Amino acid sequence: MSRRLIVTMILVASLPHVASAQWNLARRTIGDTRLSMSVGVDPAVIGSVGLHHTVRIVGLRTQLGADAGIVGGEADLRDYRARLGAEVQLVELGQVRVAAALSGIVRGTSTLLFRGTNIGADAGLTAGLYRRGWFVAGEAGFDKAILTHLVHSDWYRERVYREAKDGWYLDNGGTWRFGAAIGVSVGATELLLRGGLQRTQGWEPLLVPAYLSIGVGFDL
Amino acid sequence: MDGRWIRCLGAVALGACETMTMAEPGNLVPATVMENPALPAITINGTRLHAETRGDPSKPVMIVLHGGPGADYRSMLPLAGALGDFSLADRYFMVFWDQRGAGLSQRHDQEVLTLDQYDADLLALADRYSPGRPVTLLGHSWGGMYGTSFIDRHPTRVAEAIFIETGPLTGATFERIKSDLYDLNIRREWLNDMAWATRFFSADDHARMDYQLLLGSEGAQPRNNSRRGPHGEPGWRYGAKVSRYLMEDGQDANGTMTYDFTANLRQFTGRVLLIAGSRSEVLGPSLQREQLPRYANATLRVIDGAGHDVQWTHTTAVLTAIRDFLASPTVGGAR
Repeated sequence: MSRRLIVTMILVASLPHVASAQWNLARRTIGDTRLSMSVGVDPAVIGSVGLHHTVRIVGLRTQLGADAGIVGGEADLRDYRARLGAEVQLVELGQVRVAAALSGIVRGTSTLLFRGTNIGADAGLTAGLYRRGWFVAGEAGFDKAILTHLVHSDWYRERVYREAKDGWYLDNGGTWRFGAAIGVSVGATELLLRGGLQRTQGWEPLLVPAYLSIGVGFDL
Repeated sequence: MDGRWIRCLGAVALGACETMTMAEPGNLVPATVMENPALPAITINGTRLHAETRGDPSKPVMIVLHGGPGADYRSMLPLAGALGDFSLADRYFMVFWDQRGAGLSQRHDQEVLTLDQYDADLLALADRYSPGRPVTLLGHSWGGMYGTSFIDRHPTRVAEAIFIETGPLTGATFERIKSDLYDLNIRREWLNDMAWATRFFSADDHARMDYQLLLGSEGAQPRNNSRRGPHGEPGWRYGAKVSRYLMEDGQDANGTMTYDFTANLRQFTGRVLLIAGSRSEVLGPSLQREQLPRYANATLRVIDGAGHDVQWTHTTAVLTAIRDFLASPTVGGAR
């Protein structure tokens, strides 16, 4: 792969594109800001906090967003995710809306085998029925693990493979997802439930084949 | 954008220019015999197996069966060592091999990763090294199950067997103990690490699958009480596909384990030594005592202070138990 393409991929993943979190599009107005919190299994137990702001970009209503999350288990701060992105509403036909999302992601982990850092990107498409008090939508998306940096542990080198190579790995696959989201709103508060199934880029089953999360958002 | 950010982006871009691929043999996991011709190997039944022998080929043959399914024989090699003037490698011609799709042997897809194929492989191995003469089996964990299944199907091809920490011999037993065997609490660090790792690379080829499976090495089965840390039981490489598909081959359509390796087992009158680690809570003494009557002529030795990895952590005690068993006239007579 050429240097130009690699650098372009990194920049694309790092720029503020579309947020993958799926909230009620009917409640978004230009200039509003929302705080969100979610917890779920996606694909590990993860809790996150995010901030979203709605703007108009080239005539399209766009939610810019950022969130940060910590992966469960022993709540190791080295197991984290940070996302920066946006969700663009592409179609509005009465109560039917279609939105596309893209986000750049940085993830970290510390495991028995390695310490890892990943630069990824997530692209998604949602379509559904949106009213101010509730919505239901279907979603499909792909989370690409673009670049992954690994540093192997002493455990791995002693017990398994002394010559394991540390460094940046490219072409690491990704995860498809297909699911649904429903949400209800009470006053300035929004509740969200998302769930669905996941497969690897090569359509292999995952250890955790499904994702499920609940979220709450507050209009600020 | 200040200079620090420019330097950071530059460093990432520079790193990206020196990227590797996970599927490349030797990067994440060692190469198999298909990629590394320097590894000792044999070919049987259309598959290339990582294998080596110890001892005099004219001696009775002992075939060593590693655990898993999917693991390798690395942690079994110390059993070829000496205990004073006793050595299995002096008494037997020992055959160490990584089973089909496991360790450093050739990788395969689901079609040839079945219990029937595994049986055919072991029969071919016995015929290759010990034509017309029964073999001795030495198995650990899954290797004990595999060896028992082979005895069940071919009782005349086996002279005697030594099985260490054998897993459940029937699907019904597996179903009964499986919740004790695996720690699948969603809050466990190992489980979350394993799930979270799928966002760093997806298991779409053998190298990534095998690598990813190892993330559960220390956390998945805590009641085995195996030695933890860098000096625990070693292995070269785990075969993820064979681990998955052999397990599935023992299940019915609902995912319930239905295999039975004991249907004809009592027809075998050769001697069997079962060895358990006293600290192995699920696969240890209690399970081995329960499974002992499945064999017509078996005895059990419990190694004090050992976990499921007893052959690695307590090699001397295991060799002592084997030496005493082979010398004892009380179970089936001495050789």
